[in-house]
Amino acid sequence: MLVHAEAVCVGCGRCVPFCPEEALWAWGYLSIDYEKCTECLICIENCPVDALSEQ
Amino acid sequence: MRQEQYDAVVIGSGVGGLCAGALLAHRGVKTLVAEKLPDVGGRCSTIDYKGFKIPVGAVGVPSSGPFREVFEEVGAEFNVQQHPEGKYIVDGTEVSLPEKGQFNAILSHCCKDEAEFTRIKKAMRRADTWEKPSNEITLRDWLLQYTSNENVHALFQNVCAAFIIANAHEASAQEFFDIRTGMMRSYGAACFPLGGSIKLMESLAAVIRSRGGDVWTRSPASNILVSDQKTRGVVVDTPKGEVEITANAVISNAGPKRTVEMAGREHFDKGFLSEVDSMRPSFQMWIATISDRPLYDWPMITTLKTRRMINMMIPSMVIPGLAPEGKHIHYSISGPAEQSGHWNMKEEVDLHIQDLKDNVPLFSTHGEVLHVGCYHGGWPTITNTPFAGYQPMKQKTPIENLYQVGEAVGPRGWMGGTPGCALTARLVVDEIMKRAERERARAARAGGNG
Repeated sequence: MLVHAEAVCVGCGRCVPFCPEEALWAWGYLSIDYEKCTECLICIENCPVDALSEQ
Repeated sequence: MRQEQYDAVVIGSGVGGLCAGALLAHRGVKTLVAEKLPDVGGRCSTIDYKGFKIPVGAVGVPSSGPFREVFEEVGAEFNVQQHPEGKYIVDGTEVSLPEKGQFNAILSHCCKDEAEFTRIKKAMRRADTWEKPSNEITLRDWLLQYTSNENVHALFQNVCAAFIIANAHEASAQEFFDIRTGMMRSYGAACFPLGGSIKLMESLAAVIRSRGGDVWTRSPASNILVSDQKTRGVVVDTPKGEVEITANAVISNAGPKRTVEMAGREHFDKGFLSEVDSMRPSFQMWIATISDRPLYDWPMITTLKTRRMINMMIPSMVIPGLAPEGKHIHYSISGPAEQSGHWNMKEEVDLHIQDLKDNVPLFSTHGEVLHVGCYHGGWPTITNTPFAGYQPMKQKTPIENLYQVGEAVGPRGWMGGTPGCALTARLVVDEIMKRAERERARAARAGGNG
């Protein structure tokens, strides 16, 4: 499961364009649509502050 | 663990890291740049999104100065297109100005009379050519000595927010004038990189590789190896496993906090740690808006007396390839009312959008927000914001052969942006080359006496 550390996330939105399912949206903070997320984990490697991880 | 040997290893491929890597590789130093993310560039990069190119950080680059000079020295491609000076929007209305002498013209427009204009110009001239104001006074307090005209204050506030990444009531007045005689003096014309900022960074990476160096992506450094207050290299976590890199010099472009983490706090003296811990990063927000037509008839607008917005650029009016055929993309930037405060991010976004509605009439009817990017905290606009009373950080750390590059260690007058970061790279590389030369000379003398 995709885990999002809200305290670490800065809302840079860098992960958003990389999601093949368009499950991410940033509006000052990140929101994740877990129904769309397929856990491909591409977003994790594109986060500059390590706010995303898998569990 | 696999082991590899380089002369120098650079942690991070931001502007500081890649400029340092390119300068070193160009001078025959066997160099590795290890980058955590899948792409190079750090906060000078570009991402593709639904056929558009959105910026990660830097949008415009100067045509001359330290950044350009690195490219020229190493023979890296620097494909950019100049864009015209911005038009000014004050209270939602465009101000008609001559093509040249823009700052004086807008200042004159904001002043209530010739006497006020002359008074302010004289004070600026004295600051520029005699002695800069104190680092302990804010830019607003400095300007209040000469005027309380809110239009003039709004102009200085905008320049301050754009170049110092702090509001005039918080920023060091000394730093403002340092920037005027430093980075802004050498700026030349503002340009858009063809294909987005990432192309310039890939150009530097190509130089490193072509000179026998390496640039690894998806390869974060996890440890800076330190013994006896000296560094001997780093451990890099590559997709194929950990690699121990031994090197004579380690250059970190990961920012001071992360650098300290990787090396271990116990290796740094209390004074250095205190400097790192007391740095205050600043926040700005980029919004990318798309449309089927330019939302303004000029590619750059500077907005005064807004809630949050600083300026907006329409690079698709100047260079191709940033938007699909028939479409346009706009990048607007905003800063918070207090750089030292806590921010309600959703509110910051809403206020930025409100400013777009008030200053760009076509935004409401034809604009669609494509992407919102906030830069603060661990991925800030500026790590060591030049508040009144701030101290810049040096590039050398207390650990021998461990250097830092990037905006966090920009010298006064060069505290950020592509030129400031490039300058830190040049300072560090020059120091590395000097030390290597001294070592060679010492070894030669010892050999001669042996």
